[in-house]
Amino acid sequence: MTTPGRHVSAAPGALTSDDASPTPFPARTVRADVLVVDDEADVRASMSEVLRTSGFSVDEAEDGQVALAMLRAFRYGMVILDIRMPRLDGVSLIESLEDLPPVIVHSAYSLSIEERQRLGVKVLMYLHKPVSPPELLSVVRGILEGGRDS
Amino acid sequence: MTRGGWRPSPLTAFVTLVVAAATVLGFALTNRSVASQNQALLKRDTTEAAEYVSSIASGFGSTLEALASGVTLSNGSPTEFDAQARPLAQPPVTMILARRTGAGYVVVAVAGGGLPVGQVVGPDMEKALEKAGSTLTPAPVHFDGKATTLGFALGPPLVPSGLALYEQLKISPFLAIGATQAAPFHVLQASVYGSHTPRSDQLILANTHSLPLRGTTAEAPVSVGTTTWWLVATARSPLAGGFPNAAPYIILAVGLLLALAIGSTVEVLVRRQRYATGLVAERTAELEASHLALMRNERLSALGEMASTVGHELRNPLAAVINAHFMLRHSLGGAVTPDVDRHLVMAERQTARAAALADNLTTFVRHRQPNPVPLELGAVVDDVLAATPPPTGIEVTVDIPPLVIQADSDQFTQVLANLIVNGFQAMPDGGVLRIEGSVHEGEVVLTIADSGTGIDAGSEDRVFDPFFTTKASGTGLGLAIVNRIVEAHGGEVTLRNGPNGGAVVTIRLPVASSPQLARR
Repeated sequence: MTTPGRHVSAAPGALTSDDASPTPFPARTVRADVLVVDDEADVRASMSEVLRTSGFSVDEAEDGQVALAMLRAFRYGMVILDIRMPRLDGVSLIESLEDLPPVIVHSAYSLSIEERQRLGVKVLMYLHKPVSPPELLSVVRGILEGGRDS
Repeated sequence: MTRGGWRPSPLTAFVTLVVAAATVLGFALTNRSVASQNQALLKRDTTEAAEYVSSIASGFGSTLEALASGVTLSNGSPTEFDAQARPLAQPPVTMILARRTGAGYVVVAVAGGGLPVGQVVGPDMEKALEKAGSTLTPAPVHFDGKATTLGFALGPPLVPSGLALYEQLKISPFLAIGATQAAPFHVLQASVYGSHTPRSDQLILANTHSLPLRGTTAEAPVSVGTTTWWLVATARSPLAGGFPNAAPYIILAVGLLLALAIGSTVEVLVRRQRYATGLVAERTAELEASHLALMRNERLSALGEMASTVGHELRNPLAAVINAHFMLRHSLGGAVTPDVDRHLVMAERQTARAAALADNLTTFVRHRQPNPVPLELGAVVDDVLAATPPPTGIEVTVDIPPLVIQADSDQFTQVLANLIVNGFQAMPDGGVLRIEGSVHEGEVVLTIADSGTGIDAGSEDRVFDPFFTTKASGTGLGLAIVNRIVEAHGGEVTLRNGPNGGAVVTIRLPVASSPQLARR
């Protein structure tokens, strides 16, 4: 199947196991609080930096393909996902995985009603770019800290 | 296209009148020709009839001439006269031999009765006997209303001097009816008079009781011995025949029908042509309108595509810049000097404005069909005013009766927000914004009037075009979005200058998509 991207060379063992069957969730290690997936380097970097400054651990993926490999290999507290990306877009990424952490779609484009219906409950929230840092932080805090509380 | 009902076109009237006039002229000419032919035939038949009567009358002369030779041979013997005249004198004919005496003519012998021998003859007979010679001399005619008395005389040298022969007839003129059925009398109503003018006491013969004859008559002389009778006749039926006499009327009828037919045809053609011309004009106008609409749609579509691209492409840079501002403040921490802060604030403000532009572009391009729900108009206005309170110096008055409209909640809120904020921006030095609602002729009418400087003349129709703006900082999309949403609701929005200055935006929503009076 797919060869894991170079970003995930840190955990080669975990990657091989997922080819046989859906990897049991506990088998993966928690890598970071947030996985930021965006093909725009500046957006990805600045957003990650805002989150890190506020105390969150962040991993970055430059497209859906890389993100897919990382999500199969590791556990994340949540995903902030762009939609339009080369190689594998956000919608296909979500549809490729059954077992997902909370997903926030963060895109310049709005999804059609049909797409939203297809993705259903797998997406927790839709944010339209640009989102102000305070708003972003409040959303992320709500998800991660709310999750810890329960 | 409404036409002049049954009023014909001038061309139709002209053509119809020309054909009708030609027909009447043709009728008149034909009729005159037929009439003159009738007259000629009547004259011919009348002359022929007169000759026939004349030949009958001359028969009396022959009878008298035969008697005269006997009288001469017997030298006026009454006995011989009696013997010769008796077989000829059958009623109503009386044969008389008279001799001139000092007291006038005296009857010498009579065959057929009527006058006794030895009697002096009456004045009429006297007159004829006086003139009698070798030519038949008729006595004056006398018709007493029942019978006509006729007399013919012959005298010397056909009889010895001093003698004269006289033949007298007393007949009903109408006895002739049976005898005059032969040609040419069968086509004529004829009468014979002893005088030139048809005097009733001069009637000799007639084959009709309808006297005097009326209508077109002809007369011809009937030569009888030394005198002349006159035959007057009229045609029983037109002599030229049924068809020639009907011809003028046939021409008239056919011509008038033709005039009507040609007139109708011309009218049909004229109307058809008029209709076609009208249709062409109508279709051309429609085509022009749809062409304009198409051009506008194409322009809007191209604009929309561009707006969509720009709107989306702006979002990523904006996202990075907004984050960068945040990080800048975070990194500088307490080291932010007032100058740096001023610059940062400006950068943040302009970034927010760019983000708003991107939002507007996206909203303008997004073709979401409205999802109409019942909305309390006044409540929506109140909500928008609560979210965008009027700046200092601006007073807002709202006068909306209880009204429920059918509209998309988000879209209609956006319409009101755009218009109200526009109104505020039009009055930088303060003023009054009046918001009024009403139901008029089945439409919900909402007006938003500001007391600003109004709009430039000529801009009224362009203000709803995307990217058209008169504001220094406007994107030109606010009213374009309003227009698009109102149109999607089947309504109409206009912007005009009010009577007291300032701009008035009027939104009309059709009854179908809206108005029911609130039940509250």
